[in-house]
Amino acid sequence: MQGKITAFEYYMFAMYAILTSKVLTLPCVIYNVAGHDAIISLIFNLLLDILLIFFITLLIVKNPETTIFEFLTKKITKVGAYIVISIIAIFLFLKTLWILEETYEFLIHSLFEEFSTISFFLPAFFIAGYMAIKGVNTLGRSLEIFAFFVAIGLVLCFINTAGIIPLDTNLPYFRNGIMESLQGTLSSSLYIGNPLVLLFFMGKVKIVKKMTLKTVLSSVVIMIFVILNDFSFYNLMGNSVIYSSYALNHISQFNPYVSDLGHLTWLSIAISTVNLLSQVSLMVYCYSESARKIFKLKMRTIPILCSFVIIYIVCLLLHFNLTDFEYIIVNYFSYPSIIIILSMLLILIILNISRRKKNETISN
Amino acid sequence: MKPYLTKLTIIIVAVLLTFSTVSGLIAPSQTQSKSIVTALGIDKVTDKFELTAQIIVPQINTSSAEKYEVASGEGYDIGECIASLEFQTGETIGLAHCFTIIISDSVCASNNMNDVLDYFARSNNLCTNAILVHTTDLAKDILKYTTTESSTSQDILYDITEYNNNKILSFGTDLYTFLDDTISPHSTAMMFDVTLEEEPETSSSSSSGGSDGETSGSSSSSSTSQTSKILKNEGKVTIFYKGADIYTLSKEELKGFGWLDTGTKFEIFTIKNIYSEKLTDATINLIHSSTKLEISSSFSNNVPIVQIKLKVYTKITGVLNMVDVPVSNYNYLKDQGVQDAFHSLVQDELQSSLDIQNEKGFDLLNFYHLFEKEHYKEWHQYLDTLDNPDAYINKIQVFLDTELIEKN
Repeated sequence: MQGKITAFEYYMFAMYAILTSKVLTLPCVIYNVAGHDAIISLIFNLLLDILLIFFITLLIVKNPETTIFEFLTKKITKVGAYIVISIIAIFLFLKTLWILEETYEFLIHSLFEEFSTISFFLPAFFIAGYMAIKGVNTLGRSLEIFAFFVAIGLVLCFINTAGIIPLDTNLPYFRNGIMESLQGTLSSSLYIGNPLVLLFFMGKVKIVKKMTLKTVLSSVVIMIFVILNDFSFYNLMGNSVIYSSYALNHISQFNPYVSDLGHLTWLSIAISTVNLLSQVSLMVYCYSESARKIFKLKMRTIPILCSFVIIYIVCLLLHFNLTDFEYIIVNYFSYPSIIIILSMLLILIILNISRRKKNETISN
Repeated sequence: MKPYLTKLTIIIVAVLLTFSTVSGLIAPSQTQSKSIVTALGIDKVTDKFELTAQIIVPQINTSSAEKYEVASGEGYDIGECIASLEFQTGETIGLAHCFTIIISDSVCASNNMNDVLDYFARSNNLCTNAILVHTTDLAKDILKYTTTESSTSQDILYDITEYNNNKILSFGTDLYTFLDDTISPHSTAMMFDVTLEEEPETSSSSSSGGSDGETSGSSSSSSTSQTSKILKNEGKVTIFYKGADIYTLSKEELKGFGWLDTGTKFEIFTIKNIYSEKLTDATINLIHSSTKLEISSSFSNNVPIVQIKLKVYTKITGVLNMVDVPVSNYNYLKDQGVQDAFHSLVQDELQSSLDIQNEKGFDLLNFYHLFEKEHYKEWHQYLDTLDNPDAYINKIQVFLDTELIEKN
């Protein structure tokens, strides 16, 4: 059906939302705050995402023909809807900006030592912009195809080191109570909340039976692989995690056969680039769709072009790099970000409950 | 032109323009602008570092052997040395294929190794987990030796390093393990040693390193003079405590620790002086198959205790019984005398290694983490009772339980 994605494509969107950066820079950022309890922080982080996916999917299943804009307008008036959508759009735009910079630096770190910024940003803008302009069907189909390769790569990365992982490197957990883990989750809160993109597919998904359960289960499967990969990274690197910026790159370095076979970092490069660019495309679609609704535009092209100009200025002209971003995220964005995520979670719970109560009243 | 054709043309042009920039089609070949380094050596000359790089020379592939050359650069830190190397070669230094870093004694003597290796850990340039090698000779000489054209030299360094990883003590001689160990609370890290020795020439030959478990890995190549140089790996390991080298363990001193590393392959070993009802002063030769190890910790009257249960799976290759009593179809490994003699053998070797550890104050087996993992509170209470918490290793008591098992 034109303008609607299949349930499977929706599961894939949820998968990308769980995966973004969580096997790349997040483990390193969390370790600097949570230390040995970093994996616990990461699990908290992922559980929050799973909760978001659960409540968003529940809302989508209950309102199969209503878009998020219509739904919010009905519930909290047009002004309220615009405010909520604007906050989410700005949140997603910031994430896009940061993920693009992260992908660029990841490629420099692992593939090219000298890599023109234009050579990265131009194709990235082209891919993300094209998919976002074409709409949900193109996004759905493209990301469905990419998801297969990302999943295979992720599994291979783990298998690559599965036999040599020491299991006790960071034991015991909770040495100083649970506070360090919570601090780790708080400091990395901008990494949480990617599932908010799913809200923009409300009314654009073909609903199937037990869709909420299937979405959550597929997200949990990806969550388990994220945890396994990050667990490998923490246990292989030990205290030397502080020297690294990209988790996936280091996992293959500890395989004793790698010195015979050569680098296996190509695997992490392929997974991460495809995964990050797919997530960027999703986010670009979501915030451009918001801008289109808010400013009553006919097409998403103008907001997309404007956002790319801002990203270009910040990343290239102001020379913001990943370290700057991580510093800002940990020190300035952690509280606003966690407030947005928890508020959204609360709003989603209230919306789901209020809907149920209304249904109950009608049935009575 | 029809609208869809215009649209199609714009898309095709956009795709060509964007992807041609990343495809390398319009960029020069990387080998024209980059030196591909396969090994590095770090020496200290007066107060400066001297960084030597073994670089692949690009050539038309006429044989399987690659051609290498060596270049050196000096500087007050590794970054400066790299810059100096780039100035000399006229190319950027690419470390993505650098699998070995040789560090000479002169560097270890005057520097904290963390400061020296920090560059490699933080650099985007080095993306391998390079093996670290210590030498009492000049690292530059070793790299020059392994870069000679007359031998299968490109394999020598690799084989020599593999010898240690496979046969001596398999844990931790790579860059990240070294840094992890150095910044961990036990602060003990290690590198294995290679030496370049001159020997009177007996025959002109070349051989690759890595031999059986009882002999050293070594490699020789002919030279124009009457002496030939031999790159030797005698199984020595240099111990670093808090980033400074404090002691070099010989192969014999290391043997006790080797029993507690499941990756170590002893290959053939011998148990002597076996006495039992059926055996008198017997000697048994065995092939080491695998090791199963259980290490646990406990506290008794505030004394930390390590309990080691070692199960060694072996196959008997020969028995020499001094009393000529034929023992047919006898299961030697069930004999208490054999088990006791094996226990004494391991106990003696382990005690000898532990005595050195206690004397020098390092913690190669990372008992710190063992206690912290299993008895976090008691361990830190114990450390608080010590006048010098760094000397925690001295009061740890180690008990050993061994079992020899026949490998089917």
